[in-house]
Amino acid sequence: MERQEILRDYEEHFRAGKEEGKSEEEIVHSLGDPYELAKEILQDHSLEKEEEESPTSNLFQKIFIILGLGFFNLIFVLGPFLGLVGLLFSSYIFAGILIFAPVIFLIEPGLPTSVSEMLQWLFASMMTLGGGVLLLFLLLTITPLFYKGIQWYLRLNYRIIVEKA
Amino acid sequence: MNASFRKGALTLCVLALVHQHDRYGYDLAQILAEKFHIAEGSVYPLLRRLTKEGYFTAYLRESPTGPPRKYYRITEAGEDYLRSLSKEWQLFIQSVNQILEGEKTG
Repeated sequence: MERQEILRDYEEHFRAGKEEGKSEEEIVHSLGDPYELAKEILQDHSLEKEEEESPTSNLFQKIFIILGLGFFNLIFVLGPFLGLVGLLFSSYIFAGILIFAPVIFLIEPGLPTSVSEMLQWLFASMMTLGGGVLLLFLLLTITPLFYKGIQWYLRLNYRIIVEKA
Repeated sequence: MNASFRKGALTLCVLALVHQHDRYGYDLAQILAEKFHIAEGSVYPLLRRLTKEGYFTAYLRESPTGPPRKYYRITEAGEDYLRSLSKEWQLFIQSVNQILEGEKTG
């Protein structure tokens, strides 16, 4: 609503400028830096919001929101979060075991003594190594996403506490 | 020039210009951009602010060449505000001038 009004004002400005025979480029130039303009408009906007808030209920509201958010995080978020961290961690270890399995095979059943044992070792190694590398790649793509997800969630919490309360 | 000082001067000028007669945004932007080197775009946030604070009322008036334009008219509160701001401005200018003249002679 407010945004439309603001845009309307600038549209009118463009029309008026064109009627005077100015080019769109000239008008844009004389309007000034759009970044600065947006900053000014947003600043006004946030000042209005601050004024609208009632100062009396503010502190209690803030405490309630922080407590509520804390409980919610403790009960619904912390468990799944730790579970996911554990899953990621164990998956890394599993990938490591798969990758090093060829070496382990040489120790546990011992060095191959015949051609058939040698081939068996080779095929088993190819399978575990392939699986391990694949899993590792998968984990390396998932981990940054997971990290971003955590950052997003923390920022969301911060925003709720700072802006809504 | 200090930014907030500039802003204050600009507010005073917009109030005075709309006090002369009702004006639309583009008109004001042209006058102010010619006198001061300001970005014309910043006139609109100022007009919105003054309207929101009840110093101006905005209304649409038909334009001979195209769609209606938004005109601004000063309210009584706006006139009071203009008076107090211009009084402050005069005092300010006087003080500055006094100091400048003192520097010249002393």
